[in-house]
Amino acid sequence: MRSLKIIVCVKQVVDASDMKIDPNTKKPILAGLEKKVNDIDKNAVEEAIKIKEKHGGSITVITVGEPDARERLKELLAMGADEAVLIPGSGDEDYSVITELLAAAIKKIGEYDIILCGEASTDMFSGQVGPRLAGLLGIPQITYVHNLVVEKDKVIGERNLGDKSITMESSMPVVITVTKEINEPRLPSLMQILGAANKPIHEWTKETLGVTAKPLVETISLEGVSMERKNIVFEEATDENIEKLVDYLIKEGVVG
Amino acid sequence: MVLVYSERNELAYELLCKGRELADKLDKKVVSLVIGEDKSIADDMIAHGADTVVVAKPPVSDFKAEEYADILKQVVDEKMIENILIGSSKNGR
Repeated sequence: MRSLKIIVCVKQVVDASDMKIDPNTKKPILAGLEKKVNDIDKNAVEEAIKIKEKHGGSITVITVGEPDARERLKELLAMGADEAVLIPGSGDEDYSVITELLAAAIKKIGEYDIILCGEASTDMFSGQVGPRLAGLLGIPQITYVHNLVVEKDKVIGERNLGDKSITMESSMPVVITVTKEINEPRLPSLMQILGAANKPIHEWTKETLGVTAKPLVETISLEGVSMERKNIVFEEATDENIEKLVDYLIKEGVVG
Repeated sequence: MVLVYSERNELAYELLCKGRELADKLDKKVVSLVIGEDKSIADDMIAHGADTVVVAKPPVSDFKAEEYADILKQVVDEKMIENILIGSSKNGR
């Protein structure tokens, strides 16, 4: 089997567990929040490393992000990726622009067998990038994969559709999006962290990639969802109150 | 024209409600796409607000995004669709 060329696309996200919502404006407070690599994308990196361990090959990680994404790419290089590509972004890219950039970088790399992505990002959870990439590159996709087997000239992926699991196989090149159940991302050792310093991180700008696409979708507002109880109390258990309660529940669509 | 599609009928009915609102507001018609062998579902789509239902024969294989996308593309082109509502199920996405 010839050596496999694996590409993993990762996203930089804010750590939602640290995110607070401004109680007055309902807007999330994003200032000062650390960014991190999207958790599910680390599963994609882990899966790439497992494939490489079994079949050999090379792993390139690509991200669109701010300059400090370089530090987080080093983390993925320490895990086991061979090289990384950073496409500096301005932060206002929508999924169509992000995917155009990733596709242009993948075309620049030229040869690839498996492109891995997380099923979605923990911040927006649109799940668009994998399927869009497959469309732009004109190659097959298997999405929501929770078990992947790579053979000589094909891949077999089990798709987790919630109520059922569907097994599909595809020729290569192929886009695979993975769920977090697929594996447990490894923590790099100290030696691996030190070794990652020597691995290359290329910087390819939008201009050098020749991507001029503009965002098609505009975010009008970003608000946290607050959960509040209605605090409606029907005090005494009189027939009249019970009737009111039942009417109310029917009106709210809780029962009916 | 507004196109509504979901492989989950219940979701398609919900989308038809919104699709109907949108079409009325924009003075357009609602096209519902059903990909499957069971033509009787077309009546349900009409009952839930569709003006026209396109019933497409499903591809021979199980769900492949590209084959379903091809069917949608064909309907979008033929019916001159301007707005599309798709159910956000895993296959929908």
